Amino acid sequence: MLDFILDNKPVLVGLHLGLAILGIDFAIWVLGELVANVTSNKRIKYAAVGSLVSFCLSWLIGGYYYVKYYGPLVKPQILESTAPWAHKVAMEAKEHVFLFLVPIGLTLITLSLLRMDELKKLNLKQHFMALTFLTVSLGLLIGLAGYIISASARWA
Amino acid sequence: MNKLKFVYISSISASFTIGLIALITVSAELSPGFKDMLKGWTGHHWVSKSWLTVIIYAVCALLCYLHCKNRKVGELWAQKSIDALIFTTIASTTLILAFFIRHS
Repeated sequence: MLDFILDNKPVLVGLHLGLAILGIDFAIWVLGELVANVTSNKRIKYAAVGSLVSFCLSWLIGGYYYVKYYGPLVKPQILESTAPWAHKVAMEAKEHVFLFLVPIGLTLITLSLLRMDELKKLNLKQHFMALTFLTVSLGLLIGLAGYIISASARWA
Repeated sequence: MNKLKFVYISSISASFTIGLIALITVSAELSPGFKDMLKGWTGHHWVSKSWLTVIIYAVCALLCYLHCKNRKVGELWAQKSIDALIFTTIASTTLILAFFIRHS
């Protein structure tokens, strides 16, 4: 099973993308719970952990694909195409900005440990929301970069 | 340890990690020798940066923990540390994007 996944490029890309979307969805869930002012932080905790785990798995799978297949097979194709900037800008920025999601995800988990009344009392709710919104925005920006890279590879 | 300390330690460690990774990334692009050194550690410069992300965060969290061990972390500290994380993330993302646009 593992060999099938590791040898299958479309499956690796699909898992990388799917898990990243899941990570963004979990972060949106956290944001929704905060907007809804829920009294219990139980679901916020689960969603924050879910977001980090999804981003980490996406990181591992995407990293494996990037090193094993993208570098030797896809990158030269894009660089020789009419849109070499898809690698030089989109991929270079994406692969590095993705690394930011893990430390941010860990911080979201620490914030999720605080109950809603504690968040309000400590004036941290708005900060928590801003950081979660930033996580979602970064995730979407990385997703856009991924689309540009895939499109340029397909049309190269 | 109170929960506020966790928030503070993680925010500061994350800010430091993100800022440093952005600087390492730009420095490696400007210095082929440095990039080769990163590549030499794991076989790929990006894999080395991935490990560095984990290591820098962990070391920074440990140092912050030792620093805060016998100190009380107030709400203002926690608020400022999250603000710093948000600022560092936006600044680092902008730096990386601007750098690669300029050097493409």
